[in-house]
Amino acid sequence: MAITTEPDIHRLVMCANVFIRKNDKYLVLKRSPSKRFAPNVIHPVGGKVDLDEDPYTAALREVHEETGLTVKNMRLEAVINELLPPPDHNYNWLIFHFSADYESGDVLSTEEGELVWLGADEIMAAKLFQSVRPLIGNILDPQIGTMFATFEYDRSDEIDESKTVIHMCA
Amino acid sequence: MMMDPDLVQLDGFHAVKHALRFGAELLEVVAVADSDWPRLAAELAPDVIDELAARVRPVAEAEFRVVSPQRHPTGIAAIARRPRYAVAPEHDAHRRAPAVLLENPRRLGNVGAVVRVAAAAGASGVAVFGEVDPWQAAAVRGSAGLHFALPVTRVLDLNDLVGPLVVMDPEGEPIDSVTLDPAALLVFGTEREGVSHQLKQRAVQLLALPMRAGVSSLNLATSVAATLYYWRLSSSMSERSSGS
Repeated sequence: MAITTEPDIHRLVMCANVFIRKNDKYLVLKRSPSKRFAPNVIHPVGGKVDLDEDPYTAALREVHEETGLTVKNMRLEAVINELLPPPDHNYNWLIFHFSADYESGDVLSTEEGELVWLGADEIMAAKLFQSVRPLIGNILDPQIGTMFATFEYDRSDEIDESKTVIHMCA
Repeated sequence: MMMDPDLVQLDGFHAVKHALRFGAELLEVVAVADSDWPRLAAELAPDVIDELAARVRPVAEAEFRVVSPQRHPTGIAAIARRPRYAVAPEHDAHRRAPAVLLENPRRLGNVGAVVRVAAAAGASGVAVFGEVDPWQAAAVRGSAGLHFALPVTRVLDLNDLVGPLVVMDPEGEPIDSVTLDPAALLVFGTEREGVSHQLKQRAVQLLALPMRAGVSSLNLATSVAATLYYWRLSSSMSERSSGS
C-alpha cells in the first residue's frame, strides 16, 4: 500500500527520536518491570514533530523536554515509514531516529517513564519496540550510514515482515 | 508486541470509555500530553470523567506507542484484564435474549461490529468459533470497547452448544414469518460460505432476512444487526399489544 492516499498528498505523523550517547552508554526510556503488559520495553527519547517544525529541531526539543539534557553531534541514523492499515487509520508514521553525544545537564526525573543509561549490548538484548528492533544494530553503529525502512502493520498490530523494505544510504 | 491472551488492548477514547462504563478491570490507562481525552470526556462521557482522571498516567509519546502500537489519534489507551464468565453465552440454558454465534468469521473489524450491535440490541452474548480470537485488538477497536458490555467468548468445540440453534441461511423461511425464540442461539456463517452443514443439521430453524431480488448477500454485521433488531422490535411490539 502506498503512503499516498490522494495524489501528491501524504498523510503523515512525523516523529523524532534520539539515542543519547555518553561514555559508551545510551539514555533510553524503560517501562516499569512491574507492568503486566510490555514490562521492561525500552524506547529512545523522542516525540512528535510539531506543525511547521523540522525533525532535527524537534529531536533537540524533545531531548531537552524529556531529559533536561543538551546534546551535540546529532546524526541521522534511520528513517522509518510505518504504514497503518485502513480503515482504522488514514495516516502513516514517518519516524526519524538520531544518535547524539551528551553535552551537558542532569537527567530529569520524570513521571513519564524511567530514563536509564544502557550499554549497546544491553540495548541489543532488551525488549524493543517492534519497528526499532530490526534497525538497532545500525542505529548504534556510527560506522554505518543512514537506513531507510518501510514497515507495514497488519490489523493485529504486528509488523507484516513479508512487506518490510530496508535500504542503506552510504 | 505479542499480547498476553489474558490482557485486552483498548485503543482510543471510546474504547476506554466503554470499558470503564461497563466495569472492565483496567490495569493501566495512559495518555500523551496533547491527548484530547479531557474534552471528549467532558462532552461525551461525564459519567466516567472522574474515574478516568484518577486513572490516567501521562506518558511520553514513545511509551504510548508501546501500549497503542498504531497510536490512536485520541492519544489515550489502556490495558484491561480479559473477563471470565461463570457461564459462556453459548452454554447458557437460561437465556432471556438471543445470543449470537459466529462461525469462522474472517475479519476482525466485522467481529467488532457484531459485538457493538449485539450490545446495543441487548443480545445475551457473542460467541465466536474459528481461528479468530474475538478479543484481538482490531476486534475491540471495531466494537469501540463494547466487548465489556456483554459476554464475548471464543468457542473451541461446537458439540456442547446449549439452546435452540437458529441458523441464518438464504434458503431459510423469511424471518418476518416467525416469532424469534428469545432463548435462541443465532448462528451466522462466514462472510462468503455461510453456515456449515454440521451446524445446519442441528438447527431447529433456518431463517432468512427477506431481501429484494438481485441482492445476493449482506455484510455479516449488517445481517446480525437486522436479525437482532427484528427480535428486539417485534418483542417490544408484542409486549405493548399484550399489555393494551
